[in-house]
Amino acid sequence: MRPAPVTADVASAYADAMESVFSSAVAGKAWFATVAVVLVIVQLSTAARIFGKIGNVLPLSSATAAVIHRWSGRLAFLATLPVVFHCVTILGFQTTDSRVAIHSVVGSLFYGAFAAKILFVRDHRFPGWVLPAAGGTLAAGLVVLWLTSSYWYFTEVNFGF
Amino acid sequence: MSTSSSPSWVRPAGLFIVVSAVIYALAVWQPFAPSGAATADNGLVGDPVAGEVLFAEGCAGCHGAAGEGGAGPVLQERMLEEAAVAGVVVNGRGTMPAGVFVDQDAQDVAAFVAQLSGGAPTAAPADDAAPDDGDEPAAAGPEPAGEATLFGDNLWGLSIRLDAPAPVDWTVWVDGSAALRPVGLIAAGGTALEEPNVGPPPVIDVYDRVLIGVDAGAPRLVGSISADEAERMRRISNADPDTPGGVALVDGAEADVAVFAEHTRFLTESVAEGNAANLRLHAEHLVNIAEGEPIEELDGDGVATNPGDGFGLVSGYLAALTEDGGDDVAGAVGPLRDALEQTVADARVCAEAQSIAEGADCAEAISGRADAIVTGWTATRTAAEGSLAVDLVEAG
Repeated sequence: MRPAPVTADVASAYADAMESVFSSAVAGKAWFATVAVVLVIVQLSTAARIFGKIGNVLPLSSATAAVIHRWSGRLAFLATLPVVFHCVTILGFQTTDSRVAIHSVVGSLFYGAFAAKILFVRDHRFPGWVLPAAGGTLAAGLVVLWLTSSYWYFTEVNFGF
Repeated sequence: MSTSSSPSWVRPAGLFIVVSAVIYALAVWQPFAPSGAATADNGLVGDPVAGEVLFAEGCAGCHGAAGEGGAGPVLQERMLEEAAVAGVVVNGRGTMPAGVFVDQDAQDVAAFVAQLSGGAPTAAPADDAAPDDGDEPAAAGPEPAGEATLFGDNLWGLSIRLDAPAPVDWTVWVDGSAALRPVGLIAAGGTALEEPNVGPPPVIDVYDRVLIGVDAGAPRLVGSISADEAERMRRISNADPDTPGGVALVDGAEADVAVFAEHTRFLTESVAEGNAANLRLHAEHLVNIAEGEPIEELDGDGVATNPGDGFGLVSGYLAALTEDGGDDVAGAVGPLRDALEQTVADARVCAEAQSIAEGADCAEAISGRADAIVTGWTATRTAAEGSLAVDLVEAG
């Protein structure tokens, strides 16, 4: 009848850690996802610069843009880790309403899309349109995930830490 | 020279599928859901009504009477699952002792907390929301009834008046098919809430119920705004699709009243200037502002003109307000409509005046009613906007 001690401890430790900073684990999750979305804007901007676009509004060399792109991507990935831990291992796949269902489906596919995108980055044999398409899809997915979670939380539940 | 110019799509596709499948499998498994086994193992089904009483006795001291937090964490807005809560209740967590409740009691409390945390977004707790409010179970004592009233511009305000004090801290929500929004808190012992600005958007555009209680999923009191009432007030205060531009009746009427007053002044100035042509022109304008489409050519210049919006201050706006506004509005509209109709009759005379001397009397009569028309409109607007009150009844 009692939950397995290890899993209970992991969940409790996670919740305690989040609540040491935020009012609740859900609030913390919402803010981590928001950080990731902000970094995605950096990702899109620097990606455009790498491909020779928007030089007039983002006066960076391609090399500098590439460095920023890689590091903002790494930080965005890190910001998603507590979110995915909470969503996947604690809340799980749910379809209680359309918002939650959309979030669950897109969330399930997100890391798969991320893995494929990384592969496209490293394998230069694919057509030129593939990488921006994969990156754009990934960014769009993250925005959908943010809209169906953090945005909902901030507008319908509580805007605060 | 490239040794393999054609990349294989199998790798990215396979990677995408495998990683997605792993994430999906983890999400289905939920390995760290704290008490994922609690419900399945004990086979118990929680009763949130019984749990509410137990919560007040054993949990509210730390978590607050409405789960708003205290020595223990906030439970509102946490979207907790019953099984997870049951595990924590039985086993404890952090400084919370194990075994506060066990077996069926634990499951009942968990069912109530799950409801409270999932359906009850945070409302600002009152400063004096003391934990000992929980000494009085929510289910104890007679259920207060009362009245919820939407008021103010666009009906953005909400006031609550209870006939008897709230037994515990109660949250007030507005609820619609697409949204649930906390409005405020009525502390235990309180009977009223006054929130002057629930919107935007206007409450009646999004919400059709007022809920009061500890848990929005199981409210104690409900006030329902009927679709007909909402539609009626929406036409008056928010938007009426039949008006030009779809403006609200009060806004369209107010604009026409302003134009009517402006052209009354122009007509009076025409007399002072000795300009008979302008006297006739502005008289034509007054008639057309009041009566709307189809506009009439009255001043003999061969061109029908109307500075109003064409809906008709009298034939359009006041008629619609009388129909939608009920007895109070009809009572206020009466003197205003009389003044406007008399002015229109005089304006028809002025529109045919061939000299200032011929139009002096009608112009003086029109000018003499100008203040009464503005005053009449103010009374009409106040009556029309008014408020929308609904009874609060015990939730079924």
